[in-house]
Amino acid sequence: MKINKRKAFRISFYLLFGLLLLVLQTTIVPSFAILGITPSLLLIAVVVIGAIEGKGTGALFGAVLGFSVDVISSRVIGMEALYFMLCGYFAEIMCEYVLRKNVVTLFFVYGCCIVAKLLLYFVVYIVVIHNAEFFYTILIKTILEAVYSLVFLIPFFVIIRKMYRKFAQMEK
Amino acid sequence: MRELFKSKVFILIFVAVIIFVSYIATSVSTSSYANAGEDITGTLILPFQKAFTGIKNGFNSFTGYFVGVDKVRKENEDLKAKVHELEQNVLTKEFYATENERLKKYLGIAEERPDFKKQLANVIARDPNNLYEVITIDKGSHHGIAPKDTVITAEGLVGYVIKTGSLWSKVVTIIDPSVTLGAYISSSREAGILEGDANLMGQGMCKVTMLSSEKSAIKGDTVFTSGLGGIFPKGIPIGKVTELLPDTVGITYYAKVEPSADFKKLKEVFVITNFEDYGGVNEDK
Repeated sequence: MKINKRKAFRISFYLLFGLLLLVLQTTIVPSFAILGITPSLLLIAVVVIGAIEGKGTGALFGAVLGFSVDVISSRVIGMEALYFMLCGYFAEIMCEYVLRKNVVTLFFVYGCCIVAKLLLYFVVYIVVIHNAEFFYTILIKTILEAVYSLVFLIPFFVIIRKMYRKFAQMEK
Repeated sequence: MRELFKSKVFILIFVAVIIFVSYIATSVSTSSYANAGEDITGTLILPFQKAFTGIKNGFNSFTGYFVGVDKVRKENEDLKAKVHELEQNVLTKEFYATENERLKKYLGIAEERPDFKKQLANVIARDPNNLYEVITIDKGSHHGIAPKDTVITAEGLVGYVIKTGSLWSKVVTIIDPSVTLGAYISSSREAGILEGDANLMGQGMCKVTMLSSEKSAIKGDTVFTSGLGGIFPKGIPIGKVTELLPDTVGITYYAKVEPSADFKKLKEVFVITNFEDYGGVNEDK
C-alpha cells in the first residue's frame, strides 16, 4: 500500500470533495427537504467512491467523512465513522466479487448499506433498548431518506467515474 | 478470500474498526462527566468543530442569498399584499373624503333652500335604450315622490320625475329631446327656453333657445331655471354656456349648455317633493 504523489493527490481530491459535500449537506441540502426528509449525499458519495476507486480509498474516504459527521453532530463519536468506513470498504468488494461494476450494481450496494444501517438500528433499539416505536420511526425516515438520496446516485456515479478515468490517464 | 484477510487494507480496516468501536463504547457511557478517552477526543476535535462551524456559517451566509430566495419571494408577496391593502385603505379614505365633500354640498343646498323638502335617492338604473336621458332612482311614491317632481344634485338640475312606482321612480334628464323648460342667462338675465336636442344629447349637452342677440350670452355664463312653466323652481343652476350660435332661421340665437350635473357619474340625487306649481310645462312629455 505504497502511496505516491499522484495517489496522494487523488486522495486529497476526494477528501476535499467530501469536505464540500459535508458543507453542502449541512447548509444547502436541508433547503430541499420534502416532508422534513432531506437527502443524504454523503453515503451515496461513499458508496460510489468505494465502488469505483476501490476498498482502500473508499474506506478511508468513508472513515474521514463519517468521523467528520460525528464531530459535527456531536453524537456518539465513531458510529458514523465506522458505518461509512465499512460501506466504503464493502462497496468495491460487493461490486468486484459479487456483481458487475455498473450503476445498477451501485443501486443494489446502496440498498445493502441501508439495510445494514437498519439492522444496526434494529439491534440498538429493539434488542438493546427495547424501543420499538422509535425504531419504527427511524425505519420510515431512513427508507424515505434513502429513496430521496437515490436521485443523486447517477450524477455522482458519472462525476466520480469521469474523475477516476482522468486520474488513471494522469498516472499513465 | 484468504488474500483479502491478509491484505494491508483489511488489517488497517480491522484496526480502525476496533478504534471506532472503542470510541463508541466510551462515548455511550451514561456518566455525566466525560471519561479520559472522551475528554481527550473532545479536546482534539474541538478545533475541527470550530473550523467546521466557521466554514458552515461562512457558507451559509454566502449561500443564504440564494437559499433564501423563496423566503424573500414570499416576503415580497406579503409586502405586495400589504401595499395593496394600504392602497385600498388610501382609496377608501379618498372615497370617504369625496363623499364627505359631496354631502357637504348637499348640506349646502339644504341650507340655501330650506323651503325645499328633499328626498335623497340613489340612481339604480339607466335606461339602456336611452343612454343618459332616463334614469331610475330607488325612491317612489312610498317616499313621497310624485310625477313632475324636480330632481337635482349638488351641482345643479338633473331633470324631473316622469313615472313613479311605490319604491322607484323614473327621471327624465334635461338633455332628453322631449324636455323643455324656462331658463335664463346669468350675465344678461335674458330668458330663454332650455331644450334637449337630439344632436347635442350624444355629447351630454342641451341648448337654450330664443335668445335675442349675440350678446345675450357669453361662454361660461351660468344658466338657471326661470321658474316659468311651473315644473321647476326658480334659480336652480342648470349648466354653463359653451357656445352661442344663430338658429337656422337667423332671427334668434341659441346657446349650447353643458349641464352642471354629470349624468354619466350620477349616483345620488335629491328629489324636491314640495314644489307643486305645475303650470305650463310641456305636456307632451
